[in-house]
Amino acid sequence: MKRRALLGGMAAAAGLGLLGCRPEAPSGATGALALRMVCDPWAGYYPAALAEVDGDFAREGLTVSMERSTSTDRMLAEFFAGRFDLMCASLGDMIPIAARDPTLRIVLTSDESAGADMVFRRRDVDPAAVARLRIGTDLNGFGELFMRDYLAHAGLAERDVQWLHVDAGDVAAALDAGQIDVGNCWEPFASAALAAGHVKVFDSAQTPALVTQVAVCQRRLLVEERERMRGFCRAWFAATDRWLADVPAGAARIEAALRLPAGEASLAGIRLHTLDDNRRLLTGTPPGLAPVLQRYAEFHARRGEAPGDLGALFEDAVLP
Amino acid sequence: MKARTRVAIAILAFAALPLILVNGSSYVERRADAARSADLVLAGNADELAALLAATRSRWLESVRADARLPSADALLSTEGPPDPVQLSRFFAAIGSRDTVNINAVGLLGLDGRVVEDSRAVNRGRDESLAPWFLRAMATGQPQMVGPYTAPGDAVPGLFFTAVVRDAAEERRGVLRVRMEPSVLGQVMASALVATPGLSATLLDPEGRVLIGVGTLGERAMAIGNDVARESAEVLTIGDERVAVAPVANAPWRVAVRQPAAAWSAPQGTLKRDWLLETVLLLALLLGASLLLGRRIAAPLSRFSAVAGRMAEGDFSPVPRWSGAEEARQLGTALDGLATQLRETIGSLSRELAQRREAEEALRASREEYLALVEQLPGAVYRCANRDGWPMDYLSPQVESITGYTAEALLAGDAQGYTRLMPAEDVAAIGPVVDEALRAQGRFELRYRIRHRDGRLRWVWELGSVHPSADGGAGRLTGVLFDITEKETANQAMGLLRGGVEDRVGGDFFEALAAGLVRVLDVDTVLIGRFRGAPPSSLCSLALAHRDGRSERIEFGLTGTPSGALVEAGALEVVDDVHRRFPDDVDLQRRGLRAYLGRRLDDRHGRPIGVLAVLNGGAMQPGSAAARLLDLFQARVAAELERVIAAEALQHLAETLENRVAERTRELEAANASLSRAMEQLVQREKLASLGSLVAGVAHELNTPIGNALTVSTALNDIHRQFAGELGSGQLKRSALERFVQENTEATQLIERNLQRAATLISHFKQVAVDQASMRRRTFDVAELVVEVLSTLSPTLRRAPHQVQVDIPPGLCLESYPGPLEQVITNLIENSLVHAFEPGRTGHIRLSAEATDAGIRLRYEDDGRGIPVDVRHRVFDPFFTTRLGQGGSGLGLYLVYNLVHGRLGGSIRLLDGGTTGVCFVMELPAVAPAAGEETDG
Repeated sequence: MKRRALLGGMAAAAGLGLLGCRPEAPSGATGALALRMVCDPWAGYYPAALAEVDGDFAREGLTVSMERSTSTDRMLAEFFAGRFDLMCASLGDMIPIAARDPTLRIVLTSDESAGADMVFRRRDVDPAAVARLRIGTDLNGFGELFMRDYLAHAGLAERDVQWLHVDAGDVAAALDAGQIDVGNCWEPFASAALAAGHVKVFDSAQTPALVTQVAVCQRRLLVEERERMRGFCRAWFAATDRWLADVPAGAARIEAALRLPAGEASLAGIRLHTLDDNRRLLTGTPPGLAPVLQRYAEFHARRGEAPGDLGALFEDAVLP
Repeated sequence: MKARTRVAIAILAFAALPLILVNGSSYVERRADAARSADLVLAGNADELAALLAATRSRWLESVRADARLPSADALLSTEGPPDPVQLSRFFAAIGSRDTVNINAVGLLGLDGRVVEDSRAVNRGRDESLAPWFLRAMATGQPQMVGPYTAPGDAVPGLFFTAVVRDAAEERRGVLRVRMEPSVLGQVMASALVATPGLSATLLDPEGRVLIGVGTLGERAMAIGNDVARESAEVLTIGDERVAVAPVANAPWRVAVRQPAAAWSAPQGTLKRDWLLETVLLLALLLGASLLLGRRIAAPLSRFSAVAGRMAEGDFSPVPRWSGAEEARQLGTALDGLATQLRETIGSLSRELAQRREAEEALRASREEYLALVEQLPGAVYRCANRDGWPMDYLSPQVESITGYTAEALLAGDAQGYTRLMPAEDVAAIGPVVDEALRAQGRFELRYRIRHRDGRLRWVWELGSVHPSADGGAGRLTGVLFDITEKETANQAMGLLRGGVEDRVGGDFFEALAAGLVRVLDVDTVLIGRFRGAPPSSLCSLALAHRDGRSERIEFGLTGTPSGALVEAGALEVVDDVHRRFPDDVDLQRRGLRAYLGRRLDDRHGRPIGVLAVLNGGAMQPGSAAARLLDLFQARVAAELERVIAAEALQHLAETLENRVAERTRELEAANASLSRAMEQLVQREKLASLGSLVAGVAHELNTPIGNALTVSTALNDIHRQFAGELGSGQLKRSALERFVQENTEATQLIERNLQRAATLISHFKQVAVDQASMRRRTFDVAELVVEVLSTLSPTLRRAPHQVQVDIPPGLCLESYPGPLEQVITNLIENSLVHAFEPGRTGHIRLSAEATDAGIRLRYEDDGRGIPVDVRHRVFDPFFTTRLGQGGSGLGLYLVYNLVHGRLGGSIRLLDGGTTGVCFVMELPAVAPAAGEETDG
């Protein structure tokens, strides 16, 4: 009996020793996945804020920290440097990095600008009367294509123009300084231009689908965290539906969560994309968004830039 | 511990220790190697990253130097006036398209530091003469990199590259400035770390501040000294991180490659696990081997030990085959021989021992059976010598329950203790019986008393036998003793009942019973008493008998006495020191009584009426015969006491009955007179109410014709005044005169008709009033009288939708009293209006009459709700009404009955009219009796 007890004790000690040297489970394998997201100050991306504050992300096992960048160029560079897991930007703004990073993937489309992007002329200038029209826009993104639509619309397509690179946040100042004759920007910068007396002559309601906003990430994230990214989309669209069901209440909650001034989470001129919109735009053969991307590809090709294989942006869809 | 186990442990210890030491040493070396490898990976990454950053920086500087050498740069700076926009755009595109993501702005600065052209329009004209990139470029003439640096007026830092623009003559024309996003450094670092997952990298400035970070830990601040890795890479632990730091050549930066300490040490953990696994497996193998070896060495010893153990437990069977070494087999054979000898010796001893044990067991069982038999007897067993005083030499323990003394106490001394307990007369009485048994050498049966230790006498029944001695004489006596006190007491109690108590009643019964109980129970006093007051407050003795034959009567208050406690308790048994429990009972103490057993006597309704109690100067035993006898006599005494009380009450009732009848008669007469007066007053009040109703009707009925006459006379006066005016003005026309005459005639006729109507009404009312008020006797026509009554009731009848039909032939005359008859008809009609008809329904009333031999038969009917069958016989009773409190007085029909049967000399009855309506029939004589001759109703 004693011998059996001795043997049992030794076996138990050995077992415990083996258990004790078991390799540790990878940290974070079962905890919440922390995602770092960066975006422009654009209301179309704010369903993410609503999903975070209402606990939609938490219920999907996610923690999403949202950083709003005041410079699109810097935002793109930092995302490219791997500082963020997700980036929300306009489709046209992402073409340059899509060309350099073939692993970039669209997670979802958040919205479409339907009037919130505007073209302003300087208050004392008639564009048709200027000999050489100076146009200020972000030449790296959708701005030049958007402004070319404006020129065509205003019958100025054949005019002698000078293209100047001006961030949306600097447009009002450049108009004031007389450095440009027309320029484009969006809220909240558009309010500053209007307040300075400059005149809105065109907006994105006249360019359907051209200014579509998307959330992108590296393909690696979709592969390694497919289910959680599907949960990310689920939470995003749940928040979108809730916001659309009661727009003032959703805007108030977002402004409180992000400490925004009243009215900055306005959906004026913005059409949020629901899950059904996303299924239409991102899936199918070809996806609904493909013609818009094709237009950007052709535009960049004409500028002498190689946009790469933009069709890869649609791969690995994680829509719920 | 077994030898086999000890051997195994020793082998295990000697073999395992060196092996573990050797293996442990190997593990330490491998672990150190793993740590060195991990550090080498970190340091290699840091060196590689530093080299990549240095190369990239050089490449960028070379690029900006080459851009500054572009002819268009010199041309753009040398142009007077606005530059060619196409040339400008191409220049900016040529530089910016190299990295559209990271190149943020491209500018051309004049020699004064002012921005001449910039890809960002807003930068044009800006003064950058004090910016470090401008100053350094101008100072050295070589390409420069500054940053990440936040320029004054900018919100975010930038990475600035500058190169001097020269013309064909190598003269300085300005400065080319390219601003890049600092994140480009992060992109470089991230691309270098892709090959090694889990690493982070941080670019540090000379003071160790974080410039750019990539990876999970990259942007986390780190405490690192300025002197670390200034010349070459170093690996160190900072907090929970393992860090490799390397300097970036030709730049003021250091780059740190960081890894969580847990991840860094993970391979060492794997080594540890492998080592533990190896060690455990090794130990397991050693354990198995040592157990096998120990078993081989220790097996013969185990078998010897097992055989010896079996022998110790009595198993001497030989081992079939000894195995092992020669010495072991010889030792086993010797052990078998020893076992055989022991088996035979032990066998004989065991048999002898078993026989002795059986004999002792039988003897012990016999003794136990005997003692059990003796001690389980309900009485005591004795054995005594046949000498004077019968000295005992054995008494069983039960004698204590009979005598109160232990057997040892009674056997002490001369062993005659038991005999001394007998009263002398009982000893004398049993002597002859015993002598007779001695002579006959047979059995004897005795019944005698003994004085118990508690002082009281107990009855004993003894059955004995004589045991002759060796010489033939009676040597010893043996027998059994039984306590038969209970039976004797019961017998005596039954004798008491049969011997004189049962046939007695009242005081004799109580006296005889108390005296008998004193005698039977051998107690000092027996009390039978009766409670006084309700609730009981005192006790009056009905019998108080003492041991010495005295009897007395007492009465005492119950407060603080055992009898008082009985009122609540019902039964009380205080066998000793009763005076301590009831210290206020002075009489109890004065009489020296210590025990009190009592029962409360209740009547058949459960009310306490008296007490039956036994009192004794000495203590009594709990559960004695006295208590049972009290229970036995309690009901009988209570019944006798209740009978006595009932007899007394009957006697008292007989004495007071006549007075009570007379008193009640006087009360009834007074009540009857009072009731008669009240009824008279109510009848009078009802008559006055009828008169009031009549006057109101008269006033209302006269108001209409007199009011009409007054209105017409007023109109006639106006016509007359108008006519006089026309006449005085001399403009009277014939037509006006004719209209005046016609109107005058019509008005006069109207006035006459209304006044005639009023006169007729007054005549009727006068007749009715006089008749009702005066009870005048006259001859009248019944039909006319009914019409007059209906006239007086017409205001009431008009307010209701009901119809009255009169079928009385004219000429039916009576010589009677019209007033009472009108009163009768009025009451019947009002009764119908109040009680008969449902609201909103049209009812019908019919009055008819016919001549009879003696006078007339007047019938009154309605078709209302009728009168319920169960109350019809009460409708003529005074104050009977179904509308009490709703206007009904209950006297209407009572008055009708009295008037018809009284003044009118007739009769009235209510016919059974079924479920609807009523029908009263009155038989009225043609000539009413004179006053004072009314028929008796």
